[in-house]
Amino acid sequence: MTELSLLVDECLAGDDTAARQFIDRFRAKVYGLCLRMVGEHHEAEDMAQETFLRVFRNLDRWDRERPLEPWILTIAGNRCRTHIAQRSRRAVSPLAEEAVPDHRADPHVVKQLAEEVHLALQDARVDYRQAFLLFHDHQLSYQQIAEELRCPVGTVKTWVHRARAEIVRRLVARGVVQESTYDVRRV
Amino acid sequence: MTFDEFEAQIQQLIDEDRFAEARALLALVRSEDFDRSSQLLAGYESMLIGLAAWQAPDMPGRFVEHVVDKVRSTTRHEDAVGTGRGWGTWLPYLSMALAASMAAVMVSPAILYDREVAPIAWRQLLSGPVTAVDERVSAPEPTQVKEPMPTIANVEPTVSVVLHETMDSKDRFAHGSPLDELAMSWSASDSQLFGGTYYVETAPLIESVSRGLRPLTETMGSAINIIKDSTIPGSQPLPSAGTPQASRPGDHPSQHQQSFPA
Repeated sequence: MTELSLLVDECLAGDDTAARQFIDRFRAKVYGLCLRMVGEHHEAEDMAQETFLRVFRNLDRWDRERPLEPWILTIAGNRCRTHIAQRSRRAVSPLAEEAVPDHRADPHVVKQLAEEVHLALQDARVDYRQAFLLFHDHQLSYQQIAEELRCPVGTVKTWVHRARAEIVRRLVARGVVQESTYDVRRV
Repeated sequence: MTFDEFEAQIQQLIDEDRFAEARALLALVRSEDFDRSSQLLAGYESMLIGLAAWQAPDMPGRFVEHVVDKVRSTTRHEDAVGTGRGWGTWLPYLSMALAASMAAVMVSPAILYDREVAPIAWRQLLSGPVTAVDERVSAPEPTQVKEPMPTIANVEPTVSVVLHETMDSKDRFAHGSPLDELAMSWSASDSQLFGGTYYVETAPLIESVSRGLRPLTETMGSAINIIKDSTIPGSQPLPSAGTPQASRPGDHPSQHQQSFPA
């Protein structure tokens, strides 16, 4: 039995210390995904919290033959999708560019670029966004994403490609694209 | 290579973690798409730089404790529900008891059914004209019906089978009475119990009730049963039937003979 399986067993037995260890182990990734998905710190924290509650509630259903992390991240992504759908139904204005000046923003150019990508991601369709983040931020393969999201691999691939294309077009439109440093010989 | 083809190639290279090779492809883009493609390449490059540079802010330290507390309280709540103090535990038993009661109510008329009351030969309905015959009495000479029954006349043969089955099943219950002869008979123990007077006084009332009490007959509205009762000479008219046919004097079984059209 793996270390993770033992930890899960201890969590299922109601061991608080094991639960803390479990949360500690995944919280950064869960929170990171939630923040990327919903775009706002406090909402992301709420989503991460709800994700862990769901994970603990359904921990006995985890298929031990499959990796735990993609399962948790899928739960987080799906929770965020639901939240985004509810938010849009409430007609709250989506994250405006100016509305999300994160107090943690770094003045450094690269950091600004990271913020721009983050903002651009908020405009992508939510299923594109989820697939994109699972692929790029969490290094899941298309196959893994397809299994977790229960959709064809081709669909996942299309979603990720479209998310990339949307983000790039937005970066170009905002003029934040760095001039390519590639030495290209025009043909 | 067109602009679209170039972008597809970039996407493929990113999928395969070979983005660095994209710049070589730019040389293959046709001249009219070159500027756009170059900008596109820069855009993808910026995106990847931005993704790599992204660092999710750390969460507050209280987060873990908060989640653990919530998990614990949720578990406690579920345990409390699971102990069975609420209605949820008893509901299945209540449902089963209710179902059993309803089944008993539905079956009781059949149990109390007096089989000697109405062995009617409804089978004849299938083989020929509709004739209600009481096997205990000899059938009088048939007479012609002056006016055919409008409700039965001109019914197709296929309908007659259904009608017969309906009548037969209802008839079993219609002639059953919760208070049969045995229940109404006067015994010595009754005399001891009631001193004879009270029961004797109430007996006619009970009898009238039992004769009028024809389970399912009225509620099911079986017109056929009413016709049968009123046409068999030996049968008592129904005081509670409430239909002209039920109490019409001089009715004859043959009056209700109906021939279904072939």
